[in-house]
Parts: sequence; C-alpha cells; structure tokens
Amino acid sequence: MSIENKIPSKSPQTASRIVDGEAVIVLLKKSRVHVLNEVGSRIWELSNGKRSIKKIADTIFKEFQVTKKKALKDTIEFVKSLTKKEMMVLK
Amino acid sequence: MKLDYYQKIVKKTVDENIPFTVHFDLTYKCNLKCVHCYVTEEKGEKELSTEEIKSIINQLAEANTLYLTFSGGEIFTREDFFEIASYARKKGFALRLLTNGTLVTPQIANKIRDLNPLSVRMSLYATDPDVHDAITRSKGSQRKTVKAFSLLKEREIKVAINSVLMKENVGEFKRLKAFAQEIDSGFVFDLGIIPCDNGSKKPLTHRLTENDLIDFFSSNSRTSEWEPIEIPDDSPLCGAGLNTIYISPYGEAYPCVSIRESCGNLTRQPLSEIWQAPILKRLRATKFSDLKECSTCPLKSYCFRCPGLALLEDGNLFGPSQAACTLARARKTTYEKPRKATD
Ligand code: SF4
Repeated sequence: MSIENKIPSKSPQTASRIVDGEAVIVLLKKSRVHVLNEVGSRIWELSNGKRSIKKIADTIFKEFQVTKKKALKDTIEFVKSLTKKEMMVLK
Repeated sequence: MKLDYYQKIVKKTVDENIPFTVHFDLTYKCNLKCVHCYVTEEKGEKELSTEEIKSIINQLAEANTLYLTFSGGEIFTREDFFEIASYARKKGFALRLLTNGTLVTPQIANKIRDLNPLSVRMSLYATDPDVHDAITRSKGSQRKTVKAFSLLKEREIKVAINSVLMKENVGEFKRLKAFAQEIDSGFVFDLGIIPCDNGSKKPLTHRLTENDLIDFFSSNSRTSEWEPIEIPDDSPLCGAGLNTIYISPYGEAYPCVSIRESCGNLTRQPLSEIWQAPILKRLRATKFSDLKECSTCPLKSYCFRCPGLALLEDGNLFGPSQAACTLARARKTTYEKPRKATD
C-alpha cells in the first residue's frame, strides 16, 4: 500500500490535548512533552485512526495556504517523523 | 526569563485558567491505617459511582485537563478502578497513580502496564519493615510495597517512592534515597504533615520540630539548596484554582487537597459552573503582595507557604502559616550556618 493511503493514529503511549490550537503531547514512557506547531497540531488532531494520510492532506490543503502537492508532502513527512518518535502508529 | 514551548503552554493554562492538572481522590477507603493520614471518611456520604466518575472525566476532557492524578484512600480498593482508569486513558489523559502498593499482584501489575500511566507513586516510609509497618499500623505492609516496586519495575513502569518524613522515619531518609537509586525509582518526599480534613490536629504530633528540621537539612543537603529565592510581588499564591483543582470521592470540588473550602459538587453542578466558584475567583485575584503580613516578612524568601495549610491550621487563607514559618526559619538557619568548604 502506498504511504498516502496509510492511516495514522495516535500511539497508545501518548496522552495529549490541544491548547489554543497547539497540540501538547506527553510521551508517557519517556515522560517527555512535545508541543507541535499549528499545522502539525491540526494533523495530530485529524489522525484519529480513521482518516488516511491523503485525506488529512486534503484538509490541510483546504485550511492552510499551501498547494495540494506541498500539503501531501508535508503531511507524509510529519507523520513519518512522529512515527519514528513513537508518537504515532501507521496502519 | 525565556520560556520554552511547553512552559509557554503551562503559562497559558495559568493565565487562561484551564484546569490542566487535576487531583481526583476516587475513594477514601484504605486497607492501611497510617498514623499521619489526613483523610476522614464522611459517615453516611456515598462515594461516586462508576458512571458519575465517567461523567466527571468527560467534563475534565472537555475542559482540557491533561494530567489526572488518581489517589485516595487506596485506589485499588475500588473494584471498578481499571474500568475508570482505562476510560480516562481513552479520553487522552496522562495518568499519575498514587497508591500504597500493598494490593498489587502480578495480575494487577499487568493491568497497570496496559494503562500506560505516566507514573505510579507508592508510599514507602522506611527500608526497615518495622519502622514502615509501625507508621502504617499494618504488619507486613512494607514487604508488600517493596514487592510492588519490583513487580512494576519488571514491567518497565515508571515508579517513584512517595515518602512523608516525620519523627518516626526521618532517620531513614538516606536509606530510602539509596533504595530508590538501587531500584532505579524516582524519589519524592514531603515534610508536610497536615491536619485531618475534618480539622483534627492529631496527625501533627508526628510532624518534625524546628530543631529536627535543622538537623535534617544540615545532614542531608548542601547549603546551596537552601538559598533564599526572591518571590516577585505579582506571583500567584500557588496553582490552586489557577490551573488545578481537587475532587473528592463524594464529587465535592476544592481548589486543592488542603484548601477545604468547597467550590460545589460535581454530582449537582457542571464543572464549568464550579470552575467559577467565588473561592476560585478570590484565589485568582490574589497576588503575593496582597498578603498583608507575608509580603513584608523578612523570611519570605525562605518560605514555601501553603494557603491551604494557613487556612486549616491558622484559620486564614491569606495569613501566615505557622508550619511554613517554622520551615522557613529552619531553612534560614541551615543556610546561614557555617559549613565546610565543600558545601
Ligand atoms: S508564612 Fe510565615 S515565614 Fe512564610 S512569609 Fe508568611 S509569615 Fe513569613
């Protein structure tokens, strides 16, 4: 399956809240906290284990002033980076 | 001072009064009988049901609470504990559990692991079983708590020793610290014995005296730890009501565990209404400079004044707290005491 059709979700090793548009994510095992920027926070919010990366990127394209291509590229990179940090899981 | 991203978020929760951190006592029932315990079960009062707790959890999630501490009493005396805790995890909270650890079996330890809590703090008063058991007034309790540490560590759960230092166990401090290091556990200790929540001062007979405190500080810390700290005039009194709140097993909400002035009951009022209670508004509006006596006190930079304790023991939320005055004097004496060059 190509990466854009994969479905990201928040790792069970995390706890999080969106405070004023910014996602605060606690990595429970490591007791580390990450704060995401506005676009990252929106991707985090949309990653509910039901939407594909492509679908999330479509929303990013609609809500932020970026091209469709850039929205997809950024979403893929962002999801990959959070998966590497064990904050997200990809199905 | 430059704040990092996370500190900015925390500041935002204080400025915008978001209840970011909540302490929720799920029960006052306990299988131990600790000599210094401040909890008094209210006869005839019914503790919250599973559904009532879930409804409070929903409201906390909506109010943007991130850190949720479950404590008691002993949390594992509640048969529905894991149902409640799993529900809270599904709602995105970072859970901290406070327990005496004596009811932790391998099966319970597995369930705790599956919850992915942020941390589990367990009360340990001494490495010597006799000293610990005399405090808990329960024979064999120390052995069970120590066993719980190994059960949780085996499952890679983040643990911390939670100790209260009092006359009976102050001599155990170094051994407890060494034990924490040995098992790779966190170590938090408290010198604050507080009166019972019904006002009884019985636990205070166990509290360290000023001389005990000076001895303890001098022999267990470096002078630099007791350096005076400047308190800006516009500092809030503490986090109570700013970005934290306490909930009792009866659903009663208070600014914190020691400020026993009710904000309302969550079985009858929504959190959004309780969060605007007069006592919380008063706390939010009060700055350190508004405290008539404390703001001009020569000891203020040595003092960790707790408004709740000032109210409980001395009857005035905004007045001096005798317990804090004693601690501040002991800190100052320790700091000013001539020491070896290595200190
Ligand atoms: S509590 Fe006591 S020591 Fe602390 S500032 Fe007030 S008067 Fe001073």
